[in-house]
Amino acid sequence: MTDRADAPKSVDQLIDGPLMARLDALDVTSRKIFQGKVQGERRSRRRGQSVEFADFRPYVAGDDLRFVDWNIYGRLDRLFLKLFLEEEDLSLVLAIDCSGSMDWGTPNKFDYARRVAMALGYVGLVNHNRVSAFGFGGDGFHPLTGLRGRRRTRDLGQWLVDRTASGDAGFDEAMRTIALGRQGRGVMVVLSDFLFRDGAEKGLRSVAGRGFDVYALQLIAPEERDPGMHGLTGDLRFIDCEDGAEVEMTITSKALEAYGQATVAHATALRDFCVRRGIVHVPVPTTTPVDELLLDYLRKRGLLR
Amino acid sequence: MTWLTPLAGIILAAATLPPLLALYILRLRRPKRRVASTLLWTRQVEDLRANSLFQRMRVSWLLLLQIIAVALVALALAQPQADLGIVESGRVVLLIDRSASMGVADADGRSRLDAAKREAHERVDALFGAGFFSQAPEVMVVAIAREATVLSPFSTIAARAHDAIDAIEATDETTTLAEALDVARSFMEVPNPDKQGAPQESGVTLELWSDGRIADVDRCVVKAGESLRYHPMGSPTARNAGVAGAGVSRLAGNPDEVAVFARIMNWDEAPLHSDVELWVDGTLRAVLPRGVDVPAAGEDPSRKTWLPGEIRVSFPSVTVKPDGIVEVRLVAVDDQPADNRMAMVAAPAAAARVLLVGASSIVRGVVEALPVKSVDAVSAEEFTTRVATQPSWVDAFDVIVLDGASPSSLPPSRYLVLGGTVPFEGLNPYGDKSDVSMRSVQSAHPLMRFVNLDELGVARAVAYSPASDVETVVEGSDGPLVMTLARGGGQAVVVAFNPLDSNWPFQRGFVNFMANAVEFLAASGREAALPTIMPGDTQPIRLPSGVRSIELVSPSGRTQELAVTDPAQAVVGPLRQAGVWTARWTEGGEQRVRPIAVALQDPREGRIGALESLALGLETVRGVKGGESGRSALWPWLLLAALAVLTLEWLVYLRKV
Repeated sequence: MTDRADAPKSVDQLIDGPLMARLDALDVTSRKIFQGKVQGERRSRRRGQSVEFADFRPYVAGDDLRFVDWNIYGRLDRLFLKLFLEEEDLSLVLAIDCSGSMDWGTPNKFDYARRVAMALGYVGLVNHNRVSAFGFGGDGFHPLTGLRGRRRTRDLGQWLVDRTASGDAGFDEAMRTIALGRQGRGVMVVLSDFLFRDGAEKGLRSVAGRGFDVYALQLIAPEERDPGMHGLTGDLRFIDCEDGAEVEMTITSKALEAYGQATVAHATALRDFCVRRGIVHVPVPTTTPVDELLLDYLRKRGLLR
Repeated sequence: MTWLTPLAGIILAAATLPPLLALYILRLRRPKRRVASTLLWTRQVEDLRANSLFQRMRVSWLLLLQIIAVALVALALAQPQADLGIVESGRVVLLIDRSASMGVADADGRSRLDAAKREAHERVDALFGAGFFSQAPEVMVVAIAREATVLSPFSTIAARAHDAIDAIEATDETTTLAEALDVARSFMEVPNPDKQGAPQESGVTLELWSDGRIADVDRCVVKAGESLRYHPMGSPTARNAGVAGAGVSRLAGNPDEVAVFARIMNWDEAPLHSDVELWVDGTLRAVLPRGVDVPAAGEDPSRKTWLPGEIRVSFPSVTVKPDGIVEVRLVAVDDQPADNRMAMVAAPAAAARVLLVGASSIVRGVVEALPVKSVDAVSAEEFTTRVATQPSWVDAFDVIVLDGASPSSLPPSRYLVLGGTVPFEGLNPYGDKSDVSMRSVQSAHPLMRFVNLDELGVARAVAYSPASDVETVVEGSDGPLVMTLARGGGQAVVVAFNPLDSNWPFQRGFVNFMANAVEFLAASGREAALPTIMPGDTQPIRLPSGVRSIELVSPSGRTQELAVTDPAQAVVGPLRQAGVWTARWTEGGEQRVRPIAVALQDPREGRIGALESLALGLETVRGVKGGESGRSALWPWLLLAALAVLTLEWLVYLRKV
């Protein structure tokens, strides 16, 4: 499906040098500090074995004697245990909608999603976060896990280049699979247009509150925002990119107005659901430059710092 | 409401409405367009997905408006007409038929003419009371019968039109329309000499009240800018029979007695049985023993024409004094009594009185040998003098023989011209011819009875170039030799050569020719009956000098005094009523009376059933019902409504799109 001429054919077309340079200064953050599997570069609320002092507490039997503060014992003759902030790694999960509806619009929503995923993944890899990527769509569920470090950037990029968009998303199943295979806590970014016939609520509900700080980036093509301005008029037969369903429409001002209301209602319902579930909903027009999205919008939303 | 072309409207509706409905039932073939998802569109779906050819008909304002528009156009194409009471503000010509058939009293007990006048009055009231937004029209009133009479030229004064309508009197004439249209059009011409013949800017409405029995209706056309409204008057089933013709013939050997014969016609579709009477001078003299049975009128299958029933009758001979009135009466009662009588004025036979002018002895001898009442002879000079001083002197003679005389003027009389040149119009003498022989003869002509011209040789003859109305009886080798012509109520037989310049006097045919000529000329002035004229004709009456006025009495007894301007004759008429008119004058202290018989002799006027429509030369005009101001064409309004509906449809479409 993704055989368009302007579709990225290589990693370099997904992310370029200047953008990488600007992203080097960023890091993925979370509104929550999660316990990682390995000691990372991130402070955790949990007391751990880092060098950064956190607090004292009285010694109880069984405590590791290595953390007893012998200086206080010499001074007070009481055993106190020295507590340190433990530095944890962050799990960054990128869930990319590879359904047919994504392969549409100018700019193409799927290409845009891959570029954003590449940029976010790069930020995560550069900051030694554990980066995982999942593609779900008509071609099935494609996981890419266990990426860490800058050197895995090309792996991530190639994986994204290899993805194609077609068929139904299978969003609910994909989210459930991701939630069940979770390794540690982290940030999850869902890149999708959320145009699912069965709704996105069930799938989002699977990942919300399961240790993920979920960001739902709703990609919106310009033709979806204002179809009347993009030459959609007259008596037409719409063909759904995903399931091939056909709908005959007479595009009138009234129909366009109703479509606009339906679009707003759809976005509002998704946003309200996300708010209730602690999910950050970010509507992203695909006309927004990727660097502007990352350096401006997502920083303001707390995903990057 | 009437429909002029209903079939056209039906065809249009049948051709357009089913396809229009089909367009709404058949599924639209739409261009395909890929979208990311139809999720958000499905809530706005108007045309649900379907693979069938047809779809369910849904209520659509556009469809409704389109059906209305098509229906309005179809109705317009059917050309409906209705009486909308619309009053024209242009020129209106009121044409009122006053012919004999309009005298039929089948319009609610009144005559058709009275009913027509009443409707015309109402029409004038309507025209001049059109309302605030209408401009007063110019109305012209024309009475039509055998000829058109303008009773009121175009005027914007209603009273003038009313007076003109009141002045229309019934006649027994036939009806013609073409002249009336020409007269009306002549008044429509623009008086500006620079714009002669230019059509009027505003249209002209011709309103005709008639029973439709118009002799020349097939020669009439309604020109561009004109519209004709026909108001039929009377019943289409009026019955009529009448005396279509009558004549008298003198019995041989008894010049005081005449035989009378007549032609009875029946224009009704039922046979007629009636008594037929013969009246002489107001006295019933004879009745046909068993009456007559006149067949019904009907279609003649062989000629594909409608023919009236006809029968000819003859009466036993009756004695009639000079100028006696002979009248044939059909007793049966019908709707038009005017043609149930036909009168004739009898003229008794008498031996001819001959005047010889400059006659040679041979001619004189021949004439004196003929059975004539008297023979007088004068010289050419004396004749010229007497005629100049007393033109009526010639009335004392039945035949005047001009033997080689060439008078400069001749009063109307009956002349036998032997050589010489006479001042009759149309003879055109242009010199002499010599050595002329006979080339052809009308042997059946009364002049040539028992006359053989095979041996005729003419040494010298006057060369004539006669007009077309001059009848050539004998054609010579180089022009006409014997001609007859009628001029000014007189008759002349012109022989182009003097008999003494030929060998004719030595042949037996010469005597026979002279006898034939005298008899022929005398008979032309002394018919058994004076000619019966048609209503509307004029009648010349020869008067002695000194008569300054005559009285004319109509069949209904109305007396009219006429001044005589021509010293030789008076022309009375047109005599519009059928019956016996009487002209009276005083001559030498004695009162003279000259009866004039007028009779309706046109069989076309006998068919009096009113026609519902007029078949003009190029179109048929349907009659409008009594009291209607006229049928207006509704198609412009329907097209306007269709345009409005289409505009509304467009607005609805725009609002929807």
